[in-house]
Amino acid sequence: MRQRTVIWTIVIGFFVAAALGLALTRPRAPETISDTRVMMDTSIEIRIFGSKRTLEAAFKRIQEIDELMSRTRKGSDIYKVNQQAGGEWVKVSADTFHVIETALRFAETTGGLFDPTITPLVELWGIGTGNPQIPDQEAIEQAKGLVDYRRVDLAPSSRRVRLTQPGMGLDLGAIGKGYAADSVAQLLRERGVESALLNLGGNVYVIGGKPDGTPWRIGIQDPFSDRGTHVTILEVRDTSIVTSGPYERFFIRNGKRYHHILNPETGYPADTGLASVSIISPSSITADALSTSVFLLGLEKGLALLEEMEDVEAMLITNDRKVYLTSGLKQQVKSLAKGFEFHD
Amino acid sequence: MTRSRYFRPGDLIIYGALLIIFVMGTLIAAGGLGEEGAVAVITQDGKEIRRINLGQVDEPYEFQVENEEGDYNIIRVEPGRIRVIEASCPDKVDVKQGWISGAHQSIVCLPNRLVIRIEADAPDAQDGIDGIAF
Repeated sequence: MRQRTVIWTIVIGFFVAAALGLALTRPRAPETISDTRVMMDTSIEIRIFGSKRTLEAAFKRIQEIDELMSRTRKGSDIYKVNQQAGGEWVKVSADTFHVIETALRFAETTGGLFDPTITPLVELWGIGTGNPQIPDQEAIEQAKGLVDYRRVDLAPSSRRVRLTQPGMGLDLGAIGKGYAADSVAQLLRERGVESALLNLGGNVYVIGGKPDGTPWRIGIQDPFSDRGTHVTILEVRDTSIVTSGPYERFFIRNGKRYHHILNPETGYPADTGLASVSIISPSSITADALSTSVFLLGLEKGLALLEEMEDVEAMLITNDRKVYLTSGLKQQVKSLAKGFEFHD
Repeated sequence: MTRSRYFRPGDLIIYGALLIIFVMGTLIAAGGLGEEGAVAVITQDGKEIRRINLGQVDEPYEFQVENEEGDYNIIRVEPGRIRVIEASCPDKVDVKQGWISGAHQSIVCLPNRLVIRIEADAPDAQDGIDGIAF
């Protein structure tokens, strides 16, 4: 009698142990975690195949970069440099120094069309703020006179920066998100993350492929439609895709649209016949700076610049819905949304 | 009355308890106790203000989210999906974006610092796109 009880207990106990063992050791379904937060004046999505702690570290990195490079945040490196315009040298962090140097290199490459000292014009127009305005010509001329990347002094050995004229101001808005993406990607890789997707206000960076091993599928925004509508889809791994276009930040006055990509030569929003420029490059800072540069240069000069660059592919869309691809993309992009056609 | 050779009242409790643990263990192992359906999380200024299991929505409904400055977004919830239908911000990017329902999808209203996102457990987005470069 007692023996029976013991046997039953052992048998059931075995099943219980087996079930618990299964529950505890069962390989977890691939754990992808993500969050979307409003930071750097835009929406930041980080999606990783990894731990919550790593995700938090990634957002913290974004926060740090914003605190260094925001133009409007009191106490940031850029804020301090701008405050001291025409005056003292300002020591900045290694991150900020690197981004300023890179921005100045693109300024040279584009003959000053891409200019990180665009601040006086940006502030004059106020596009993206609650109070945009069409400035009068006199104000535009005056602001234009304060935009000149050649008047930024750098002292690399001591990491100091100086703007040589009062009223000048740096703005890293056209390159900062690219740097942030590169920096977060580096942090994630150092922590062993092999699959991740970052979307920093439309700047996409992917690490590896998706957790299931297939490539990431990234849509390129249709510049004539609402957010989320795509012209085509790219299948990518370990690269970054950055798109610039006039449709993202703008205001409409007297039936005319004024967008946020300002041409420092005219002082007005750039009008080059391009509707959007997408750059694909493993370096997101390059992709970010190039997308704005090519947009400002226009179709022909833009394509010529792209020819010179290594590890860079691009997709340009004109206002008349023609799509231009660099050679490396031609095999990949086979179909376009309705209404668009390939050049050629 | 003869007492059962195998089942004494005391033993039954033990058998019962063991059986329950066994069944629970199996269920957990099979993942059958996890939450089902897409969960939408709404945050404002980084703080979670609402969490909605879209899989458990029977009747569509709408509600308004407001910040201290009086800026607002009106959000509509239907079975399995969520969207913004009206907003005080000038560009209305959030309204134009329409419905979201798939894992990791999000709607952001920058001026009002509002984020609606679908948690990772949801089914994948139907358009098969992981992200969009804009």
